[in-house]
Amino acid sequence: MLGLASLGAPLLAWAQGRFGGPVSYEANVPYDGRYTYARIRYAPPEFGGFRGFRQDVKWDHDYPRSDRHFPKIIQEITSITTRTEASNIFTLDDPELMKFPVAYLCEAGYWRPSDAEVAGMRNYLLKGGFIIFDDFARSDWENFVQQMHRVLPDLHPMRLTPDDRVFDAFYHITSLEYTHPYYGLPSEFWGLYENNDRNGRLLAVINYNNDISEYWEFSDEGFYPIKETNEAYKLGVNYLVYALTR
Amino acid sequence: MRLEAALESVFTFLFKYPPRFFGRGELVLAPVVPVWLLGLAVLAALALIVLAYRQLRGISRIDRVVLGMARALAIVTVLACLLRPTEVLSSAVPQRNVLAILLDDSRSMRVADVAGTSRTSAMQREFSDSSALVRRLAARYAVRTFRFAAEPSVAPPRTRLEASGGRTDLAAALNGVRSDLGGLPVAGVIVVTDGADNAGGDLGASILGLKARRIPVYTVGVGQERFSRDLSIISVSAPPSVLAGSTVLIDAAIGVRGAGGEKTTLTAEADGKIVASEEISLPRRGDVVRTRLRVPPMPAGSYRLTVRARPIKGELVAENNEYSSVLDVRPGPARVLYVEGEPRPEFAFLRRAVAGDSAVQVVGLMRSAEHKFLRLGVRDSMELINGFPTRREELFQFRGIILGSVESSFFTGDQLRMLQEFVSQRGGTLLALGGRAALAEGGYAGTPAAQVLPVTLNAPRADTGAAPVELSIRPTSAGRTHAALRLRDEDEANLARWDSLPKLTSVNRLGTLRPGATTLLAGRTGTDRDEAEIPVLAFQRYGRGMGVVLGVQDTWLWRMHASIPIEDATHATLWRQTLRWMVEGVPDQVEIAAVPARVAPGEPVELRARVVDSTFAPVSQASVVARVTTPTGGIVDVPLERSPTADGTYTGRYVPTDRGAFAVNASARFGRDSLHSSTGALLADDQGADVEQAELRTGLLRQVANETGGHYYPLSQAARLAEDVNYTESGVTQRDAHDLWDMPIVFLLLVTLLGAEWFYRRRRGLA
Repeated sequence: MLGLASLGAPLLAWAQGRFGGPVSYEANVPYDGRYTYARIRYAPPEFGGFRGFRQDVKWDHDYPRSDRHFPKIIQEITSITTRTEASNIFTLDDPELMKFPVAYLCEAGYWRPSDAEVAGMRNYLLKGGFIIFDDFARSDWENFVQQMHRVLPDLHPMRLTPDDRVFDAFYHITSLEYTHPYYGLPSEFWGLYENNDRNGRLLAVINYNNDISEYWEFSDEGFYPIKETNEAYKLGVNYLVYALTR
Repeated sequence: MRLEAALESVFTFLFKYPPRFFGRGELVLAPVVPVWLLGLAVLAALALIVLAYRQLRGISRIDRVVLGMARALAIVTVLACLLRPTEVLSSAVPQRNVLAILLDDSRSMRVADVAGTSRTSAMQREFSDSSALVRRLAARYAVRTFRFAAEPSVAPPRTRLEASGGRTDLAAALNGVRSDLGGLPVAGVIVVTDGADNAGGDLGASILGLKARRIPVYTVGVGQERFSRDLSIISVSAPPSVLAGSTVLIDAAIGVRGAGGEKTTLTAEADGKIVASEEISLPRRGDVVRTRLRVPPMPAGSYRLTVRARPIKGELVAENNEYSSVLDVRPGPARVLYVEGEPRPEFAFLRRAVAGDSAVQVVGLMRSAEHKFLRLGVRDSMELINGFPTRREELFQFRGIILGSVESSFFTGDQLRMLQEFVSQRGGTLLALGGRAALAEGGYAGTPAAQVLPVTLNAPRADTGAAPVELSIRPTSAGRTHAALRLRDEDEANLARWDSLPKLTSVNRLGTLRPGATTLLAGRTGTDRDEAEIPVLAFQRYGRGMGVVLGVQDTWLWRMHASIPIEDATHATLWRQTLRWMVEGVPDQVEIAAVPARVAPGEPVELRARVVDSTFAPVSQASVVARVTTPTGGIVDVPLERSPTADGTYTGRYVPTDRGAFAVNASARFGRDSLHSSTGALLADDQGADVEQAELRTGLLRQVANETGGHYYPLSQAARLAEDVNYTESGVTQRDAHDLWDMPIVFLLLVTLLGAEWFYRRRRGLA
């Protein structure tokens, strides 16, 4: 067992170096009205493992490359005025977050918001913000549901189908048969609707058993097949256009 | 007044005739001896005086001159009398002329301010068939008596006046009498009234008509010019129709007489139920207090709206303390087209703000990518299928257009003209929002659409990538009372709420305000109060419609900002109110109105419809029928005739007989189209608007008299009419010469000159 671990450690180190996170985060840019990618930062888990030679803080997975690639695609494909040279990172209780009404949160299995962050997210979502939950799988779901219950106790995640409007906001997405990029699990799409009403506004979309920003991150390297990468971008484009129009 | 009368009496005593006698006639000389002979006589007399006074010895030169002058003047005066100055005057030939007497029979005549009796009683005492004045007039004229309120009607002998007319229309009364007595010789018209003329008829035109026939109008004023203690509702400004869910703002001006420092309560009632109320402190200075009532939203329907000021103690006329009108609450939805060139929060948040509003619907046309549109809130799958409408009839079905961040080159030249015509011709409202591809930055300068906007568009910001300008936004004085921008009931709380709102940003260079435009919200970049303000929300009327600019890119921050609590409704309230303001006055293809909208039962109104086609061009060949629904539910169809003067206008006459609120609708058929109007309102009741200005309006009556060659009399001096009306150039007249040599003033002058001479001699010891 110990041997296996000692054998696995360098492999893990390689893998984390390959998929590893940065050592520093760029400073936030001020609000200027353009669409700016916003990532949610939360307290790292007490033990979340390592990425490379540093602690894996979870919330920064795929940063900064996915955060730069996605806006470039948005700029290219849609008419959304987009900031491509910078992206922002906010905690949920940061007042500045409110000026960026679409945000991205990953690894919800490790997300344990403080009370202030819970209140911040409730404010954000109910006033009109939209959050994309991504990059979590398997038993992460329990933690996600538990934490979301703290944020919006009256709302429960609803399984999305291709008939939900978000899948027709830009691209007409007819099938939700996606698989997790590296776990190979069948993906599930869930949503939090205002008043649990499918005809109402979608406050958050939940990419469970999926990691679309993983596809975004490596889209310039051909690490994943183009078709799957395209599909991941199509989801992201639809989420963003939906959030800015509905 | 009393001094004037005294002076006139003195004048009449001295000059034998009253002053106006001299104004009307012509002064001629009819010498008893030839003029040359008189001239010789004057010269001879003067020569004799000079000779006689030169020979006098023992007195100074000055004494000689003074005495000589006095004597000379006396002799010249006597000789001037021999010129026989005469006033030649036309006067009515007895029993050959008609004299019309018009007696005011409107409600304001019930006011008891003539020595404790009502105006009507006082008027009837003076002008009853058996009164001394009327008998004297009847001796010379065929007297025709009319009663009038909205229109004149013949008053048979011994008619009792009811003072029940809901409105006075002096112009209509004068016109009516003139045409009634068209072929007859009319010596004059006597109008006995308090002058509460509120029908707004064209008085100038009626006066011209009378002047053309040289008929003098003698006006007799009844009542007090100024009440000692009175409250009166001078004006009420309330919209005739609003969209369901709108707060109705009623502006009222209350006239105050002798009640400074006291308090009253102003209430608004809808169908008898109090819906708004406000206590008002009456000002010690000034005669008018203005106030605003806020009526909360009411369900769709037609309401009788009454504004009432509680009477103060000892108030003489309580009838003028209330005002009624009809308010039509329309169900909607009024559709507004929002064209947006880029998905952005402003679009999403604006649509969400009004999503639950049944009266306003925002149809979204969002360009999500080049040639790719997202259509939200469309009627059917075909609406806006090809993007922005290319035909006027398609665009003009909307009542408002919101232009988001979409560059001018998105539109064709014709579409830009359509935007302009949407406002000027269709009468819609165009709201241009700020954004990176909006206003000057969107290349709109010089386009037809830019003409509509209340600010000029200059060169765009040089660097469109530069950071936006942060603006602290505050309502201007016009904005503070504006219905769209009201966030709190009380003024101070409203302003405080505005001051607490977070800053917004602008990426546009907003030009200067056009003349005639109004700024409602102004922005400052710093905290310096002296800094020039930037117009953030401004509007102007343009043609039949309105152009509005809201030059910021992110009103959604008034929802999302960290300082705004979840339950705060500021953003939604502002957008709901703003959209209502945009669409409430926007006309339909068929519009109908009753003119006036309030009368007493039995008084006629004109039903006036305007019909336009789907491109909002006037339709002259329509068949138009007005349908009146009476308060009891009866239906009366009134066919309307095409107006020869105004294209697309159709008129008809209707006389309401019941009391209450009438609903008026019009349907128009032309070509294959059959269209219906929304509801117009008509109110018939005894509480006419006539009493609003219940005080005697002397100015108006004097004007009518002076312009027609008549004269104004207070009721107490009406007896003088008997003499004055005789001198007229209208009707069958004769010219009489009246000698002036025997005026007492001439005798007095002689006595004075001779007396002065004698007195002077005595003083100088010469007598």
